[in-house]
Amino acid sequence: MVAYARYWKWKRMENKYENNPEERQEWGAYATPPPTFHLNSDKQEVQQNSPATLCVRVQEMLPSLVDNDGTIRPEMAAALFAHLAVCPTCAKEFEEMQRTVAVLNTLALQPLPMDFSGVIMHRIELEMGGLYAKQAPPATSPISQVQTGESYATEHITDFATVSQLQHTTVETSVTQSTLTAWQRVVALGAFFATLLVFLSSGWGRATLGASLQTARGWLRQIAQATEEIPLLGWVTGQAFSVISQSLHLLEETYRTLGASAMKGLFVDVVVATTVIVFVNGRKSQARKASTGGL
Amino acid sequence: MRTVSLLEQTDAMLVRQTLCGQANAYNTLVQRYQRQVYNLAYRMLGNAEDAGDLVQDTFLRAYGALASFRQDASFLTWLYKIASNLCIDLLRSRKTRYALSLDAETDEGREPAADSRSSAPEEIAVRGAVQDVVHHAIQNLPERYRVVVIMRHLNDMSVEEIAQALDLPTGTVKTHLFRAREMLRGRLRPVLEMEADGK
Repeated sequence: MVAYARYWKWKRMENKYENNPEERQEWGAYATPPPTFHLNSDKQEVQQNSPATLCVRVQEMLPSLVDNDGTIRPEMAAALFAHLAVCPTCAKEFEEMQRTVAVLNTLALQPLPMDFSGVIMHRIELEMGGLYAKQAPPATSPISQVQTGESYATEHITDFATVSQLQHTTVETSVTQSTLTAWQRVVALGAFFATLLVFLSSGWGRATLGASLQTARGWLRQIAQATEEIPLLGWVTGQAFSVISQSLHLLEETYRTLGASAMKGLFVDVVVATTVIVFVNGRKSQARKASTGGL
Repeated sequence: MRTVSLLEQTDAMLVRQTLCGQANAYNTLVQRYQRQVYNLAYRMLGNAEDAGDLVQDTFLRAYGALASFRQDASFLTWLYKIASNLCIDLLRSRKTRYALSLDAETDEGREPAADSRSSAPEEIAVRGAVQDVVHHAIQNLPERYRVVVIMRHLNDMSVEEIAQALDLPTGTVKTHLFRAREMLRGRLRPVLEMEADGK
């Protein structure tokens, strides 16, 4: 066995290092049993590699070759095909195996005599009714909640509200559950504006903000330059970044030059922003109540 | 927002919905896989009536055990496992003359005499359909070989999937497949010769 493996390794090395394409293509060279002078001289080894034993071992590998199930490496497959080319017994065996598989593969799926689903569901209802109690779908993720809610609405609810309204409700619920509550949002907003106030009320803060905006403008300029080679996208990106850059420049100058007057402006901004947020939230809650009928 | 119809939903989603009490989801699973299960049963049992009963029993048993479905294999593979077990139980319990003669002869690796007669070229010409001959040859295989051949060649399952469905090592599945093909090759020799002559 060891000598046999050594022989195949030698044949591969021969092809690899001598770069002899004629021999590589000539599979017949692989079909020849290993010459005895490459093997150990004891009788057991010679008998193990006799042509009859070789055929037995080839035939052991033929099912895998027929199935092409990936267990035969390409070089071994080449060797097997080479043997089949010179050994009529093994070739006949291989051909019959292939033909058997081909005949078996002609078996076609039978058509169903009837649709069993109705009978099966009826039997389930009779024999196992109530095995799985109707319950809320598992809350694995907002997406699965939405999908399950849709299918449930499509199947079961027809007279209460339209399916689209229920879908809307499901989406709203999942979004509300997955984000912050109202008071958390107020705290986050307050923290944000407080930080901004600290920055704007000090000369150091204003210089930092201005420097940050300058850096941001620099990045935007680099991105616009990188994409300007692209025909349409480069133009669109250039225009968009030009507008953003100008706005940032204006802000930067404002933060750098304005002192206490920026504080007054910021207070006005806070009041306006808070009013807008409260108004939008109120409208959303009204719409939600209207769509669910007050439930 | 994209609406996902029942037909597009994956097996895992339908199983989860069934466990949540939505019977319609299980109905979709039945409609999706009843043909594959029916064909496995038909080729295993040999007649349409028993195959129909077995399809119902398979889906009923699957419904009852759905909570234990762990989803480490596909739902179809799990169904095949249930169906093949039911088929083998049914074949063993009925002890029909057909199954008895097969168990007696093929388990010892001998060729059934009746089968060699039925595979004569004249008989093939009378029946007129190679598929019938192949079907009968498969029917005459021992159960453990038959199920492997059907899963491999009719249901297009890989050796690994068959091993998973039958709780067998991959090597055992390969061995069963090889032995089954060897038996079939002997029994289908007239058909194979006809095919060879045709070419």
